[in-house]
Amino acid sequence: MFFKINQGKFKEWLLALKNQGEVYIPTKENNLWVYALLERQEWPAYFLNTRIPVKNLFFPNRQALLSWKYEPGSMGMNSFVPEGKKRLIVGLRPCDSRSLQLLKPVFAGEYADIFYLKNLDRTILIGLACSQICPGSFCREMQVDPQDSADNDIFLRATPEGFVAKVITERGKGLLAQGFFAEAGENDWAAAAQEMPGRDALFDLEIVKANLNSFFAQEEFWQKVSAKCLNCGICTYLCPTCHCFDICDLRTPEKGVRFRCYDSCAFPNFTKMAVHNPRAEKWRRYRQRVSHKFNFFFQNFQAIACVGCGRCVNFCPVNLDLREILTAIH
Amino acid sequence: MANQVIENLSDLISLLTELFRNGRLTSFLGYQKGTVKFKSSPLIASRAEDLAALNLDDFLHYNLTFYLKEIKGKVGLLVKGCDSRSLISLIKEGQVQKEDLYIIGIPCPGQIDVKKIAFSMGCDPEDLEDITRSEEDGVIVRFRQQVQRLTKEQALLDKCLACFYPQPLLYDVLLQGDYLPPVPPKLRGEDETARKSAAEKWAYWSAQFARCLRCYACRNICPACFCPRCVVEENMPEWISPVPTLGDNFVFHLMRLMHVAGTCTSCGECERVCPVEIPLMKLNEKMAADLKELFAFEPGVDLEKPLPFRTYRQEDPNEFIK
Repeated sequence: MFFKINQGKFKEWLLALKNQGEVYIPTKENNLWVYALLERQEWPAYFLNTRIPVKNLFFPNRQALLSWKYEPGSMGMNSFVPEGKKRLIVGLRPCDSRSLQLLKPVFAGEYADIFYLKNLDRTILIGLACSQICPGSFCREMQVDPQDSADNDIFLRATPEGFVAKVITERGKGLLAQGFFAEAGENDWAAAAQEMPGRDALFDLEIVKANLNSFFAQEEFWQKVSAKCLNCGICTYLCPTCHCFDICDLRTPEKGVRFRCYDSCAFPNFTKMAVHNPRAEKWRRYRQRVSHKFNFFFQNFQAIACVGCGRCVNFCPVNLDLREILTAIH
Repeated sequence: MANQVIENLSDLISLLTELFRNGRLTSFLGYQKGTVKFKSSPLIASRAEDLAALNLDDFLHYNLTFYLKEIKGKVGLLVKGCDSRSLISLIKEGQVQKEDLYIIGIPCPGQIDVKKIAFSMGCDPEDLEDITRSEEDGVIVRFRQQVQRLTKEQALLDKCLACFYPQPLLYDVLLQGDYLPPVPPKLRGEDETARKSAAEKWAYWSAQFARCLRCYACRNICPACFCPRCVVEENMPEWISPVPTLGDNFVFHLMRLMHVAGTCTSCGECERVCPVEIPLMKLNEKMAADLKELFAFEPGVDLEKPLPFRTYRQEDPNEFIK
């Protein structure tokens, strides 16, 4: 089912959506693109993708889980109830929408993480087709289509006049039945597809997957490719699918709050244990990151934990390019 | 100091190959082509064969001396004027021995500030199509079918416009090229935050530090952050929580700033790599100005002058030292 809307009506529609819940749109703040609460800012005329991935709104870097208080003779504990307020995120790129679905089995497995799941449940996703391939990205190699996505409630394609919308879910349909949109057809949708200037595929994902096991034991390969890594957390913290976390208490002797925050396999103390550190060397940690995404995650959840957004490539301080490693494995 | 001059890149590769072959070098740090636009990539060579990738282009931002924290042995490396200051700091701090290094000075016309160019063009760095140096010390930028010429002031990193040391201060050989004369450059504009009230400064820096992700890229890329154990990783007791709260973000950044005072040469790598654009150079520059004013000390320019925070003098006028 397809609809269309012009630029002016689209802006009115965004404001009307605020009656439904908190609306987040891509916004440039402090020289970086983030999803920010819609207040007075304009819908951006042009943007590639946000620097901070959308996972941050579902699995934040600082999540209070519970609080406790001790008094002589009594010990009280309180869970923080996940927020229930409805949210709408408008303008997600297909890679980020996919990442939210990829993370679902992690947080909805044997142990259901109420915070992530509630966030997913309370958020309507309105995706937007890309206008350009981002630097460092390899989305098409990762089978993410920059022009289409089924991982949203509504998916938009920009046209010179406004947008053509494809309804994907029932709750998405409900949002369009408000008089802002006009009906459109399959041909409008097809005409709104943008030609993405491309390059040849760098690698075939199936071959990378098949080869990774045999590469695991090649220590020299991993030592060589990780040599320039500086062990910072940029690739993991800007990654839309990296989800390793730490649990920490902020406390005084009488009371405290337990938080969940990001952790990174690039950090030397990530696997530090009482007796030793099984990944004390940098090459083991880098191997872990690649293997987790392209091999172990697949073994656990039958999906690759990478959407090819290219943030890790573009924002790596030393231009350590994951695409080169995947191409070498290929 | 030797005054040998290497004519060109292929002569440099021949020289390095020879040094690898006769055991004078075990590693070499240089530059190679990057995989995304407006970036080169560090080259870490461990054998002569790796040198084929050596390449010098218009984007040599990296201060390669930070790799000396990890790469030991007989290391050869390329240094721009500013990078050579980091080397002097590291030698003074006893982190590296000059005898173990083979230092190759390279010319630097000032590094291109891609973020600044994008900002002045009203776009993101990713949107710029092409940047080339023009003959008049500026750059020519291509962006959405437009071609614009920018001046040096519009195109280069602020630290380069205010660079007093465009020529390497320490080297074994120099690569031939145009070495800018060490004339006093344009001074940096006054930091507009400096004139604000304490409350306004607090609000400003709170907003900056609030978005710190604690990825530690600033610390890890910093040549002056060479402690093998850092307080942020200590957990018995835990001085700084891994949870990125505003308070602990403040503690992390300000403590790091104090800790590198006297060693930090304001190379700006911390600010360049910050994924959330925290203007860390404002802090570095403030620290550098204070060091100059209070201790008459400029980091990384003199191998002999004692470090201000490693020196004890009986006649120190401050009571607390006695």
